[in-house]
Amino acid sequence: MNKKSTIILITSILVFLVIFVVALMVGRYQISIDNFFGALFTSDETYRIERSIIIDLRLPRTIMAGLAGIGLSLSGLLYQETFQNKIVSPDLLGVSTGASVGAAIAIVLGLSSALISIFAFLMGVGTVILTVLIAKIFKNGSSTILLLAGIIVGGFMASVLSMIKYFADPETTLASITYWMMGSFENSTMKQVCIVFPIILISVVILLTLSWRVNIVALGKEEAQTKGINYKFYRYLIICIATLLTTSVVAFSGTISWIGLVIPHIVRLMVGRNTRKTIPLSITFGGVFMILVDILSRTMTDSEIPLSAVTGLFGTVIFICILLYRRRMFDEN
Amino acid sequence: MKIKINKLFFTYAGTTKVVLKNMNAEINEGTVNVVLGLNGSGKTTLIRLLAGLYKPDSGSIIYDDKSLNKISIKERSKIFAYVSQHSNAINDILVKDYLTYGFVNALKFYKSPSKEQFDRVEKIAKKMQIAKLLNKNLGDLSGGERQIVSIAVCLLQDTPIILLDEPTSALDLKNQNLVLSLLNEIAKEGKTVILSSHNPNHALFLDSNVILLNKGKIEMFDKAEKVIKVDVLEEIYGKKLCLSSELNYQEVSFKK
Amino acid sequence: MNVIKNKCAFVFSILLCLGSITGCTNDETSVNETTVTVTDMVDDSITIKKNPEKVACISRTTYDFLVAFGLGDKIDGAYSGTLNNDWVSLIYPKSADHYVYKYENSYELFLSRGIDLVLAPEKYIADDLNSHGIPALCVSLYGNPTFDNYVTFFSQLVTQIWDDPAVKVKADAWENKVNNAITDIQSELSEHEIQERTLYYIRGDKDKGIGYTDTKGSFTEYAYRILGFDFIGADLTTNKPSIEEIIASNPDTFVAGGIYQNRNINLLKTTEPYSSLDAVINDSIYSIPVGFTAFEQISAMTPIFLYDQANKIYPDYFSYDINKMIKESVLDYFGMELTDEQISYMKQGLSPKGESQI
Repeated sequence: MNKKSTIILITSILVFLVIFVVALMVGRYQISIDNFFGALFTSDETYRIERSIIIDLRLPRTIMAGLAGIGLSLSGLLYQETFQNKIVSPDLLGVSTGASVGAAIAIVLGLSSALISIFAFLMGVGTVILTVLIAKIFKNGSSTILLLAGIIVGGFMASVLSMIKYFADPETTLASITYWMMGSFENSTMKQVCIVFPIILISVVILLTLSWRVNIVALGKEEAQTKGINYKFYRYLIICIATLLTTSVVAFSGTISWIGLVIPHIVRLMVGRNTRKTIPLSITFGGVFMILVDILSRTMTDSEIPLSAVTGLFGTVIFICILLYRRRMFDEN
Repeated sequence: MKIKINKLFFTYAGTTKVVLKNMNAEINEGTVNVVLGLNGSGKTTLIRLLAGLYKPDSGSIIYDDKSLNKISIKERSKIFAYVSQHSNAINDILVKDYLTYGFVNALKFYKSPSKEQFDRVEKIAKKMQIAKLLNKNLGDLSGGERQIVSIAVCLLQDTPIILLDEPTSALDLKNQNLVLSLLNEIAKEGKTVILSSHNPNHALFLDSNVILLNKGKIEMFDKAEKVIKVDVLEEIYGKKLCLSSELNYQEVSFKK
Repeated sequence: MNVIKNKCAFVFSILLCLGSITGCTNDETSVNETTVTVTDMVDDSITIKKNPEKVACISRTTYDFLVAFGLGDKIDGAYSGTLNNDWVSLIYPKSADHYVYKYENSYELFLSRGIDLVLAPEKYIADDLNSHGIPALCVSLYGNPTFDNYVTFFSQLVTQIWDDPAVKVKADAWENKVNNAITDIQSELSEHEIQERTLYYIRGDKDKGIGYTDTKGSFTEYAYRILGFDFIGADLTTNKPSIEEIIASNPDTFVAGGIYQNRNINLLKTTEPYSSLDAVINDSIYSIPVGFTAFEQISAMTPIFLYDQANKIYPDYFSYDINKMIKESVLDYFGMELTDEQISYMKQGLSPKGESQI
């Protein structure tokens, strides 16, 4: 890691920590700085409501937002590297659509939110397994075939979802399904955090360990193999990790678009292509971005704006800025 | 350490046409060997088989008296380094980072290249006169520069054998000369070079042995001077073949 | 020759007479198909056939009113949410014969069932049906800007559409009761200096938790204003405020309605940060009975709703006999005598058998 990348990384870690604290301080319910410290560092009864808001409401959702940002950015980056295609997103192999089908089925059956998450998780993983199996029918093991299988299975799941939505009661279940799909950290609890955190942590540790090797996998089968990497193994490992990262986020927070596509681009713009640098930065940038999005979605109006609405708008603006910046750099050179 | 190709048969999956038929050869170390033949004669297939990208239907490749049939990917990468015909799709890696990829089979999975390895990269780059390219992106290089970088990676991979699939087919005359001269030097340092080529004259430029393929069989395997003859090549390339001295125009080429 | 001419003339004149007689008869039948032009709740003038025989009650509270005013046999069907209610099955057994409509239905469905009036909840539905030849009136659940002038809108509309004098009697009686309730409560409250307090209404008809209320323009907002409250939903941009928004607004009182009321009240009392709110600590939480319709929706039970809430919120000033009122009203409007046990279940938001309805 050269000097510039190290500086960017350290700065981003600091920003992450600062944003995290800011997220705890900011919200529809105004808490002054004195009350904030009073609530956190004393057990004074006068701060009871503030304490509850910070610890029961803002803390779990901020952690979930951070984890979601990390999970989706990383899985987007991994897919973009493995499939040598910069415009793929974590939903490439149908994870998000599959998870939505699982959640929709659970919502229609009137199940509890814990079961909705379980259904979503299992369907998400099941969809990716289906995609991989379909890709195997073509004996060609190339990435293009996997991509194609992902489009087929994703399209199938989208149709299934449409059918479920069609038969859902517009007054109750349909509204719930639509709301779930738009993504929200509103119902995050520390219990959910306890489930998602280890999954993300283990995946992050594995990826940081392998971060330089992912470069070789990104070269494609031929080059990777002739340089000594068991390409098949690494590709499946990466798909597994990316799927776990995405599905654990989607199962608890609904589908959140854009971040898996945009953050890797921003990171590459800053430090280039080397995954030894882009993987750690995707973690920090993704976490910061998502926490910011969560802050915006819960403070701008008196009700919660669905996450995908904010990421889409915010992300589009940022993306256009990136493109313009690159264009200006290019013109200057 | 010799490479022995023993009764090799190969058919592409899903086809019935046998591409390599009962191929037998012995390649000595420190030599340059050029595989010649028409398109579809099996040149690329042979190179890719040696690289381990395909598995033979039957027969074996033996190196240092050991069969390579069951060898692991990592072990194989310590014997053969491979340069593909088509340049990689990835354009925005820095050259110096790309060169370090040659070390992957020497590094544990949790390690990334050390300072020493970066130093070796600089050494090789200087030696091959591509030091000025180190901080450029792969996509900013010309075809010839890119090919030389690929060969540099092979050298860093530090294998006894280097395989190249039509390394000069996309290059202009000057760059072709550059690459071919480089291959000569590499062989002089003791590496075995095996490449396929579309141009028989390249085999003469290189002090090489020629493996002449015809319809999946080895028609002839001898020193270039003995193979690149009209009466030998006529069989394969057709009756209109002649020597440059017989032409009524002067072809240009590079001196050795 | 003359004989034939005479015969022709005779036949011709008979035909003329017949023609004019049938012409006269046609006039008489066209007089029987009378129409009436009414203004619906979104100020659209629609001309419909008088005394329709087959009404589709898609708008939520229209079913309640039509049955209560004795027009139950003119109903073809109602919205599924309305009919899917154990109290409706108990109090009005004929509801089993009524068709279960969805929120949006196809034209073919209405035409095949011979519907001559649709009471639609939203303007776009009414407009769409009217433009396809199906008479529809919009009976919205929201007034513009508030519900103040719309309390007796539907009861008056009913008397315009149906001629039956018995209907008018019932409608007028209901209007009197409502107006009396409003006046009684307002006059009593004006005698005491009531500070204006804020109130948060937890809608509870769907599984959306505490963050689901109603907005300005709803009847609930109007009703609680009568009861002396500043309705928090009136200032919100949507009907789904976030948790922090509710906590920040710090309501003086909570009211919980719908079939989820018990769960929501329990949530308020047991989960932080709600349980730390003054309103919860002071137990200023009141429930709303759920019967044929949820009491806080404009319906035949509206006067009782107002009295019930007045009792609960101002026990020092009001003590109406709610049980008696419910028993009498249900008997009067629906011809069903409820037991005391059933009435107590109604007041607790439970089913007629005392079970939770969720």
